[in-house]
Amino acid sequence: MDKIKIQFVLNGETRQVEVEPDLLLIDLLRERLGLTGTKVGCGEGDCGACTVLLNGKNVNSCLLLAARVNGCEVVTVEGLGSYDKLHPLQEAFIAEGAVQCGFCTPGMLLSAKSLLDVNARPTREEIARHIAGNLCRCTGYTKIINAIEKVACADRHCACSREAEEGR
Amino acid sequence: MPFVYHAPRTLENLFATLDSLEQYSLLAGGTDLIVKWKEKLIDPKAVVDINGIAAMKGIEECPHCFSIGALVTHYEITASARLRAAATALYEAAGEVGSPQIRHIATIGGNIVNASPAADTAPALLALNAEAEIQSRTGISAILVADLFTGTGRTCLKPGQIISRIKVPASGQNQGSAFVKFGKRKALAIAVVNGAAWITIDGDKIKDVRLAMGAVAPTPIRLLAIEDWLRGQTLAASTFKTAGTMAEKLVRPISDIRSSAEYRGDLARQVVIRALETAARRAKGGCACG
Amino acid sequence: MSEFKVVGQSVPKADALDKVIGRAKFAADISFPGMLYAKALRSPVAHGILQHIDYSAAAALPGVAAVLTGKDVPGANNFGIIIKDEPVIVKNGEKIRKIGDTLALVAAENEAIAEQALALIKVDIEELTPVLCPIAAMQPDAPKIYDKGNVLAVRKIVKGDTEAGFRDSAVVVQQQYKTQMVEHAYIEPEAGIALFDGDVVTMWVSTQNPHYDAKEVARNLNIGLNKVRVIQAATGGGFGGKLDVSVQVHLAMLAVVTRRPVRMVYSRTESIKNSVKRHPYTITMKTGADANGRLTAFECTIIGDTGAYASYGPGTLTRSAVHATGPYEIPNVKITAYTVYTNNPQAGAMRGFGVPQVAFAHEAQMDMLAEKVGISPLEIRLLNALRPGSLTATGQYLEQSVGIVSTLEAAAAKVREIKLERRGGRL
Repeated sequence: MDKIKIQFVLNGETRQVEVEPDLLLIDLLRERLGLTGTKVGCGEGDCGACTVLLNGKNVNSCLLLAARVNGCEVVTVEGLGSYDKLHPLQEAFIAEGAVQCGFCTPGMLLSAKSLLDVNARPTREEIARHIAGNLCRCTGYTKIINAIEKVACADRHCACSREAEEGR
Repeated sequence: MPFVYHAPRTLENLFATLDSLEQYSLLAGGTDLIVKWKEKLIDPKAVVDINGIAAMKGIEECPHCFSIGALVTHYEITASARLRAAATALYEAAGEVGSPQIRHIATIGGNIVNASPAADTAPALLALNAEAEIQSRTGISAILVADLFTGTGRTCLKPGQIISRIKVPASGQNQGSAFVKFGKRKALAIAVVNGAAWITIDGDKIKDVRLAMGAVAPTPIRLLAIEDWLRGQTLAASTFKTAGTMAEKLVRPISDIRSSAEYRGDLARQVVIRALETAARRAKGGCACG
Repeated sequence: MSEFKVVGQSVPKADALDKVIGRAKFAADISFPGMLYAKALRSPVAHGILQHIDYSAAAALPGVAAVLTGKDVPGANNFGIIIKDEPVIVKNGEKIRKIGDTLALVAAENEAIAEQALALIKVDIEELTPVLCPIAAMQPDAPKIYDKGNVLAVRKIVKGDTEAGFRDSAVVVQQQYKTQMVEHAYIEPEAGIALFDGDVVTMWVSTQNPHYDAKEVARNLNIGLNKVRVIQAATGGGFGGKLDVSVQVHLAMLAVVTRRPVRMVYSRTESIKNSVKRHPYTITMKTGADANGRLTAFECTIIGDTGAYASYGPGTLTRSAVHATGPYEIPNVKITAYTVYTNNPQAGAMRGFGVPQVAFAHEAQMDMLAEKVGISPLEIRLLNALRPGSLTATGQYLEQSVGIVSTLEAAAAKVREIKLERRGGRL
């Protein structure tokens, strides 16, 4: 089987790799490139644990042939922030208790980022709708939405609607 | 099993590639194809990735209609203010497909050619009287999307033929459309029943109307008998209620993992009532998307 | 704000930082050089006898490092948290009791080869009539899933005299309730990776129960407990479903035989087919009350379908019996709970552990009794709720700290507050 040469930007770095036609992006990331932050939950695009950003948009890496990212930009959780420099979403997830088992967390963070990148002031309903493709089986959605909202609020220097809701 | 991968960049190259292959699967969004492949329901010898073909992309506005590339994603449809205003049912249906992740990748062409009876964009396209442009090496022709489906998972497309673009008439003055879906969840749910209505009003009368439903028959269907009855009727809750009751009697849904046939019948009535009410309100309101 | 340094303070979760960075290592994230990939051949039938297994073609496939069958299990070849009734690998001539029973294991250089090898294994199974309904399974002429019979355990609780209690009742409600099987669907499918250094087997596993896992590995490999080291990797949810053995014994056997690191990761389908479930129940409940709504007598029969293997079944059904009366004091009680084997997926521990099923029944009973007596659902609950001084169905005298009355009152106050708000402050 002929391999395909692809070039893409992964977490800000240009990568050139040779892939088999049937290699999936998730397997390229996890098994070839050692980026195990992206998870496999269902393998069929239902759970969102494999979510990465493709040209800034959240997608299921378990449903994408690696060959298709040729010329594209891919961001995984490893590209979001580091121990020294956490992304505000990562800080908010820790502070708001939005991390339980942690398996949905990488995908959830990337879906949140893709939302805030196009809509800096989402309502709670817009947040819920945008993370609808990311299952948290620990069912910690309220705190996840709180965390995303906290980042959105910090951006716009305004009183958080949740704080208003809770009468704080 | 492994497959050979082709990624033609032009329609000419695409048709040359298809001609050279004995058996192939076209890859657009792939959100259905890859799942079927993983579940070993299909075993393509060749996968032809059409995502590089510019002629199949983009939403263009022509006089009184839109030309939507088959590779346009559901997300692109939901991001179009013009489609929201003048093809509201399609805009709404596209926003109900899968999840944000799926909508970013899955294409309208794929949603059609999969020929799922429950495809969300299908009732909207039927109600809006959309046409599919069928292209092959030998030429181009147009067919109503309503005439495309020959059975569950089957279309009249022949090997070597593709849908390149979809032509959707734009709603104008006194016209409105709406899409309604019942799923088990708000996201990532295949419709238990879905449907769409398009309506033209003349004062307090229904001048013209089209009604379509999904998941109540082997293919998405138009409810022509109800449309006939509705033409000339007065815009009133009782009219829509009667249409709903007619729909419940007319459709012959099956029982399956998502619902019983009886419940689908109930939902069919509700879908028709709500779709008609919303479409009529939009036709009256001037603003098609209100 | 709390005056304490820790109590009452919001403390960051210890592993949250690693998890938001993507560095937390779940079992499927761990790899070692020279690692093999393991897969299991599962039974396609629910009830049968494995007559013959031919794996010669699989073993000969290039890239296959090992194929193991029942005869290769060095130790007990059984495991289970309460009863050791589940085979590690079904042996020739032995029973298959559910779809998904392990018939063979393969370790190969990659997953694709392991899958090809599975397809090359030929099995000959004598199919037996599967028993899929627990009530049918209890009948004397039902096909026997185990020689000792299909009823695994019976728990009885008797307090007072229910016959007399019902005689004194003004109203009686009798109903049958059925609850469904539920899959935990933790987002991380079962996974593990094992190493053998010639002396000790070490594994990182997605589990809730590493100490139990280690014991089962030792028993089935016939080695000392000090030769087994089970490390819980970051675990992507369990909810009770990862208390049972999944990949542990299989991985240990393959690591010992191949002397190479071996990783096994379930697909979602494999996870759903092979993991334990919440017990489906058939509950018959009869509850009596006097004309004021005070409970007089309670009879309840619970039949829990524990599937092919016991797992936590007897424990779950015991808990259901103990909680069947709900948070209410009833003078006369008779409860019988049966744990029954079928050829369905095995049921085990899941959040609530037998209590959600009976709560569905006893709360429905209370609502129906209230309606018959003509009082509100809240009134009948407050009237009968356990309080300090109450005697439970199991004869426990409650001396203090019984929260149900204050909880009901707080909930009722909140309901009144919300109703008031919805009416815009008007009463």
